[in-house]
Amino acid sequence: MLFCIFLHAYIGEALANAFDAAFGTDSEYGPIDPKDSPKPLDGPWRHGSLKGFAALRGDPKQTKKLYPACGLTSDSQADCLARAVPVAALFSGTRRDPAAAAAGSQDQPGSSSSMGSRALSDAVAAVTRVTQNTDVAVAFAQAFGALLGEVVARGSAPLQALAAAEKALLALDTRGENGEDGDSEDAADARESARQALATARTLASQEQGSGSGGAGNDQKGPSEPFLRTVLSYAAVPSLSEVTPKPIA
Amino acid sequence: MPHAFVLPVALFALQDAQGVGSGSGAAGAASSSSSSLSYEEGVRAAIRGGGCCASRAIAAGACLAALHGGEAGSEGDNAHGVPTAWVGRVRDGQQLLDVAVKLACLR
Repeated sequence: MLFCIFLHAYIGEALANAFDAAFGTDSEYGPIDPKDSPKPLDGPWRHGSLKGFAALRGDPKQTKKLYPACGLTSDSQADCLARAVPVAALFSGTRRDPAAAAAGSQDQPGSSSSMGSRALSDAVAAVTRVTQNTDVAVAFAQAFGALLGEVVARGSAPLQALAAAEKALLALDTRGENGEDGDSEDAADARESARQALATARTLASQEQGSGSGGAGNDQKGPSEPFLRTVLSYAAVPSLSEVTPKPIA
Repeated sequence: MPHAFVLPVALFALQDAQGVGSGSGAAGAASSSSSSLSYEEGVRAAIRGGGCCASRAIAAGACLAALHGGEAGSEGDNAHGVPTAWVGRVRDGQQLLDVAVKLACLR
C-alpha cells in the first residue's frame, strides 16, 4: 500500500515536471498573462487550470509546489475531461484485462470488468490531480475515462458504454469494504454526481430518440433544438425525474 | 461541471442506433449509418452550445472518434472520422495522431 502511494507520487511529480516543461513559465508559453491583457493573446494560450498550475509551480517567491499540491484545489472545470483521453487510449490498448485473459474469461461489451476499470480510474485520478486537485474534477474525469474505455476496448454501443461507466463508478465505492482505504465522503459524493450526469445524458438521449428527433435513426442531421436547449439549461445535475425541457432565459 | 459534461456525453449517446456502436470501436467507420453525426458535426454542435466549449468539444470529439474510428476522414474514405483538413491545421497534428496510436499500442 505504502509502495503504491509512493509510486503514484513519483509518477504524479514526473507528470507535473512534464507539464512544467511544456506549459510552465519557462516554456514557449512564457509568463502568466494578466487577467486584463488584451485578447486575443499574441501567442499560445493556456486554459485556466494550466495557468493556475504554472503559477503555483513557477512563482519564484514561493517554494515549488510538488504533486499533488501543484493542482488547484478550487478548479472543477471540464478541462479534466481532456486529461482522461490519452489515459483511456493507453489503458484500452489491450481489448481484455490481463486477469480476465489469464482466467480465460471474455470481456463483453458493457461488462465493465473491475480490474481494468479500477486501473484506468486510478490513472485518470493521478493525471487529473496534476492541475486540478479536486474530487469533482477527478470524479468527472473518471466517468469520462470509463466511458471512453468501454467504447475503445470493448466496442460497446454508446448507451451500453454509459451504463457500464455508471457501474464502474459505483464499483469504486466498494474499496473500503475490502480492507482497502476508503475514499472521503466528498469523493463519494462527487462520484455520485458524475454518475447522475451519465444517467441524465443517457435519459436525455433516450428521450430524444423516442421523440423521433435527431439521433442516428432519423434523416435529420444532428440533435434537435429542444434537445440542445434542454442539455444546455443544466446548471446542476438534476435527479432523473427532473429531466424535462427548461426554457433558456 | 455537469453542464459541460452532459452535452458531449448526451450527443454521443444519441448515436446509439442501428449500425452505430456495438462491435465498432476503432473499426466502426464501416458500420456508421449515413445519418449519424460525424466527428465534425458533433464537435461543431458541442462548440455552438457556447460556454465552456473547448473542453466540451474535446470530449465530444474523443467519443465520436472512438466510435467512428479516429482515422482522418475524407470523401469516399471514413467520412465520419477526424477530417484531414482539421489535422492539417493543428500544429504538429499528424505527430499528435501518431503519438496517440503509439500510446494505444503500448499495452
